[in-house]
Amino acid sequence: MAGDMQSARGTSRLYQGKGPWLLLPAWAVIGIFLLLPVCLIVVYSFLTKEFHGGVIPEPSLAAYDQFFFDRGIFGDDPPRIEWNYIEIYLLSFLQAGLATLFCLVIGLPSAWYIATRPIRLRQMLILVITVPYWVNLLIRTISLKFLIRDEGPMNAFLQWTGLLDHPLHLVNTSYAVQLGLFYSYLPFMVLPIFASAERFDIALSEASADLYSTKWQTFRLITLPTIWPGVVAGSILVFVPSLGAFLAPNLLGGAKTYMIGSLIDEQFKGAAGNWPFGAAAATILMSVVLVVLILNARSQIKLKGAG
Amino acid sequence: MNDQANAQIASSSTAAIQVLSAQKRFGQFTALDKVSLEIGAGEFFTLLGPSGCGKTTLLRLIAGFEDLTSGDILLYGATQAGLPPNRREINTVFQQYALFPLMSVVQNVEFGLLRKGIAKVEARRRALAALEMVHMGSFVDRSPVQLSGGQQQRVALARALAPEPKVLLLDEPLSALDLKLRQKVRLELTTLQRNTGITFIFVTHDQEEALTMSDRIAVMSHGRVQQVGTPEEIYEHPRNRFVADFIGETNLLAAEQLEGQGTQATVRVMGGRPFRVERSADLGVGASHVSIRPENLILTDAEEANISGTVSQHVYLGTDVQIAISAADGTEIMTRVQSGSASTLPAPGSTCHLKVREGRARLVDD
Ligand SMILES: Nc1ncnc2c1ncn2[C@@H]1O[C@H](COP(=O)(O)OP(=O)(O)OP(=O)(O)O)[C@@H](O)[C@H]1O
Ligand SMILES: [Mg+2]
Repeated sequence: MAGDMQSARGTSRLYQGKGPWLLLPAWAVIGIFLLLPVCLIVVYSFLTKEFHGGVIPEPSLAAYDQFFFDRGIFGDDPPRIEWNYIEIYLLSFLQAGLATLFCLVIGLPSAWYIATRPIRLRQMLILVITVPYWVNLLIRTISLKFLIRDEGPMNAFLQWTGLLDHPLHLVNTSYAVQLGLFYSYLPFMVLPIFASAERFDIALSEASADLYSTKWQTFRLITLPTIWPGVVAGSILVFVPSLGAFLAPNLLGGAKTYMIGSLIDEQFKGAAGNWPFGAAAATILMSVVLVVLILNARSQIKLKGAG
Repeated sequence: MNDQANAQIASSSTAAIQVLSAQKRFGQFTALDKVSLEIGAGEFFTLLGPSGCGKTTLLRLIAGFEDLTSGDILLYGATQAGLPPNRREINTVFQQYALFPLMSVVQNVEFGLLRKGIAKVEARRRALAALEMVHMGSFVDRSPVQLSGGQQQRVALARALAPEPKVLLLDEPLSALDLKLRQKVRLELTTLQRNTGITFIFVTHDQEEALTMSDRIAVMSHGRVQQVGTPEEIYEHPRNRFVADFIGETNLLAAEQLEGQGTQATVRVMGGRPFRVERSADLGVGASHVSIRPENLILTDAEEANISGTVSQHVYLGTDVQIAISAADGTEIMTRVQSGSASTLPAPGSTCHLKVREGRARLVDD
């Protein structure tokens, strides 16, 4: 086609990688340390439980059966749907979804603000965003617990100002878990949005205003489509780890707010564990996430095709 | 009564844009200093000046991207102070075009029409007509990133013209184009302006562009307007040293004013024979320089000489030969003669005498 040469504009062949072997090291690492263990998990989920942890190499669907069906205490009642685990999953999706939403609502304006500062300030603000990551997540989560517990500094301060007359019970509620997730993953929302917002040409906003757009129309029609890839990437980076998080629910949520991460975590611990069941729970989680990601990728491609 | 009188003033004045002692400061820096301009409806008006003189700043103030520090800007008599860009019936062709990269060419052009609340079908029809007008009718569905610089420039023009603004602002729209294309587009732009009747305010630092395209030019420097006039007025009757120097080539020489009345004066340069010069009636008292274009200095003999000096070099320019002469006090003077007369040129190092063409020198303000 005549347009072929022009469509290559800005992606000069000269600087494009010469071959797929540039990807080889990355593929090797992903293959050995990610795909292989994932395959192992899937295989384990179809094996038989060994009583002191571990598996017996004997094919079995018991783990999935346990996940989806309730057959009574002795296992010989007619099967009924087991809601326990499904509920944990739904609750986890809700928590992860809310965490993503909060991160988006707070992270998008922050990312936009940072991206529109002068270059020096921009670099400094981005550094500040990453500062919490200099401290390990476990320690951060524990210190968050110290901060918000009933006798902690936050409640002491709120009572001192007279805003509250008795402490706010946050620890061991789903609100604390929500706070923990939001706090843990906020930078994963800010950074990708920042990366796409930084490349946004402010002259486009001016052109839009010049052509009779209100501020809101400019945001919706010009700015948002440009930074959309960043928003999608950030949402995935927050949603997926939130779904499998176990530090925040374990440390901040206590026994009442159980999430998928905690459920799986427990199955691989000590004699009380059940490896095939944990593996099955993980496999189900991965399948659901995979389906969501594939649907998202397809809608992205469709958007591009139409636009 | 009073209202009626006001209405009459507003309707009888045909100024599309009035800039009333507009001032713009960025921190301590004054980018525009008490600029006043009146731009007529349907005029092709050019802001001309060197880099950094405040042209873009003035354009951005008119468009509404910046707020005035003081002063006012009126569009057909109505103040635009405090109005955001989307509430001003003024559109801009940006220097780098600023086309929306995620939209097709036609979506870019109909964008303004849709925001103005024009129905989809009608907006599409008018967008296509605007693209047809700039000869881009066959690129409707392309993405702007797949267009050449010249094509992008046309789309930007169509996008700004489609909503039929009262005033169109163009910030150096030709600077990204190569010379050949620039000359072609110049002609197209002036034709387009005449056919649409829309007031154009055009920014450039290229004097040739300004002289060939404009109805009137405002020459700016250091945030001030130095002179406003038709291309001919600006070229032939520069008011001050800056304008004389900036527009075309000229010799600016310190002169002794012997007598001066009305629009005529007699001056002497470097002790030579006195000669008559033009001056504007409102010239400042400090005026002490004459501007003489190279083509208005003629080689002559010693008796008739207004200025004398030593030839330092010849530069062959095609149809003309430029002769550089250094006067006794070291001042460099340029003159031009036609190349045909090359055999009679004074050799470098020889003494040479110059006469000022009658009535073609001007006394200018400092
Ligand atoms: N946002 C700003 N902050 C500070 N100074 C500014 C700002 N915008 C412009 N200036 C200054 O104001 C002066 C005029 O700038 P302007 O862009 O209007 O010049 P210009 O005549 O358009 O020049 P050019 O031909 O190079 O485009 C310059 O000295 C510039 O540095
Ligand atoms: Mg400029």
